[in-house]
Amino acid sequence: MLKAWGSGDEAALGRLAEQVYPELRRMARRYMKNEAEGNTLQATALVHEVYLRLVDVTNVQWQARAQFFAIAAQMMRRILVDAARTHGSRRRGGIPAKVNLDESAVLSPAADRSILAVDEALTAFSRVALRQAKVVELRYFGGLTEEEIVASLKISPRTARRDWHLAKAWLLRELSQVTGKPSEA
Amino acid sequence: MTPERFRQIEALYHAAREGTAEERAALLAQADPELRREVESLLIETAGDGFLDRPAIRNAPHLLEDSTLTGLAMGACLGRYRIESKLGEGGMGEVFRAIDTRLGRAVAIKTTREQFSARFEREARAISSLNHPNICILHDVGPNYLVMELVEGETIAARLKKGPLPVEEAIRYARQIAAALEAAHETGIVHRDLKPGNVMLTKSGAKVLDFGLARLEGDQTLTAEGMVMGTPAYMAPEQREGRPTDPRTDIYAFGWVLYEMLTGDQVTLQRKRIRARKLETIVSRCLEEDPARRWQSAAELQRELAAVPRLSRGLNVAAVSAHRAPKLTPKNKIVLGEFENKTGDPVFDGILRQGLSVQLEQSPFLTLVSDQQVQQVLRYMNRPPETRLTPEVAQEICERTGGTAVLEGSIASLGSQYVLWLRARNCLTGDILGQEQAKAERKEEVLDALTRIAVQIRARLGESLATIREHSIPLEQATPSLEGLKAYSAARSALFARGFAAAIPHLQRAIAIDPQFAMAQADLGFFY
Repeated sequence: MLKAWGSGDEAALGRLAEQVYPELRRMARRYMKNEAEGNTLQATALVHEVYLRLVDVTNVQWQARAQFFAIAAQMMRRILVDAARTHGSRRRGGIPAKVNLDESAVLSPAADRSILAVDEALTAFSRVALRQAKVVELRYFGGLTEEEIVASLKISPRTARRDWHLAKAWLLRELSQVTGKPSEA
Repeated sequence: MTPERFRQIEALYHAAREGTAEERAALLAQADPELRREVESLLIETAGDGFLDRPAIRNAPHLLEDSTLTGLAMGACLGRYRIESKLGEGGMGEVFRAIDTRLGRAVAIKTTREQFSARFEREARAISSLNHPNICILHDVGPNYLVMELVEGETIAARLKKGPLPVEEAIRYARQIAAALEAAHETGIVHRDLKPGNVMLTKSGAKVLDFGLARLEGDQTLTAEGMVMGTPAYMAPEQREGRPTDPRTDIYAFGWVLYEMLTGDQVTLQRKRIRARKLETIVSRCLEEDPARRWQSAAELQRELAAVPRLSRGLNVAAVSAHRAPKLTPKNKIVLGEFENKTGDPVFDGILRQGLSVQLEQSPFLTLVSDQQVQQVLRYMNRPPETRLTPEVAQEICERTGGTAVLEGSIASLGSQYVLWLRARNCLTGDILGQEQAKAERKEEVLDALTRIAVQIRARLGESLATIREHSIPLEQATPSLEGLKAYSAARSALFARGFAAAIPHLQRAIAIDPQFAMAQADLGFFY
């Protein structure tokens, strides 16, 4: 199937995505559970694992593999964002805590900046800098290596590094700006 | 931003970042000021924050598993910390006793259900540099937990349940708290949520907990104007109103902590006078509304505390009543001023004032100056019917209608929560008769909170608890729907501004939203 996709078959890509998404989601859950319990499994990206699981690696060209990772990274982003959203809404819909004026307001739960805010900032960033935003998606959400990013986006390693630098600075700045975003003029 | 603009930024950023310091300075000097600012703001961020270098999934271990935190059983590990037992539970998360496996020492871990932001982590690291015997040390910051010095003892809040502290002891702790404040203020950190529940009394003295965290929390969500963080009852006016805070904000809260230690009384607007004159001066100056009139630094405060004469320390400081504002007597008239909506969410426009009037109209003890009368007086005052009932306008209406007091309120957001505030002021003397605050965890609970403060303020104004109990139908029983109440509120304003016909569609809408809305039903029946 992946080979069919590699040769440009859109329908094959759709079918592949259908298989990848649930698998990736399942693995993400397991991964986070382990991580939360303090058992770090491995540092490799989940997208590698799902790839190994779903395709016959030996028969696939590197290029198709890179494309697969790009799709999987995008899915990973969606999985995490969805999880952050439902996590947030479940909390809001839960049993209200007792209101007590003496209760510490410290540590009051707030929006999930790490996932939702990065996602949001990244979407805004992609409007001015599509390629640079892609680099972040692959690296931050997909957990890909620089080499894989280079292959997937067909850019030079130097460009990949520079893009990452700039994107990181940009996003950190946006995320630290609590009010107003002058750069979105 | 245009793509060309971005390309300019990008080119200059890379050139500046990759060049030497001199090259960088030269490049930036040549650029137009706008571009230069933009690029400089990016260059600062490169200083490095590891958070984006970890894959997202590593930043979110708890997201897919909701049971993570409650599931932190004995022996579970958070990073290098092994959980030993649960010490307590707060509104925001849980507190555990844990062992730092690397250093082999016991620590306290506070968890939250949500991830911290990168900024929170960064600023918390600054706070962890605070090292003072009277400050609980912040050792480490995880993705959604804080590792703190394990402090054993009880909080002042817990201690106060047994009554006031002996004067000597209260002064000793107060001096230690002031020393903690001084140390923190020197490094630019303001506590912003000092209160009896945040000070631990241990064998070695007082330890102030959660330094500076109130603001960090605020930063995560602080977007709309008027948002406040902290515990409403102990908040200085500037903090309550969302204005800038500084060390004097802590001095205000300190005043209440000292007051409570000495008297055993809870924060209240009609506070008692402390008999020992020196202590009364110290407390009252902490509690000045205007920061410029308070003690200006924790150091100054410490000197004052050290100078409290021994003689007065031995005296019974049991406070005596003073300045007790006259309460209302039955049949006193009240003008409902504006209920200011500081949340930016239009759903609250108008409805809280309406809700409050529904609540207060139930009281046999109070008489509200009706909206109709208000409209009449506005006409006398040559003001348009939709004039905002600002404190000045409300006071004038109160005087003209022979009323006794003006009630004014506000709602502000506090992270995902809401704070409601209500104050009754005598419109002849300007004395504050009572002031109440309540928190709502979420939007759906705002009406419930409004009911609570309405009841509290009725008690404050002298109404007996028995009559309140008898005549207090919670607002949610009138209608649980904010939208329904909003339509009803629109009907009321339309009625007074433009007559019956204008009110009818709004009432119909209110009933369509909530068919059980009896007041709307009754009004509609009346108009037809």
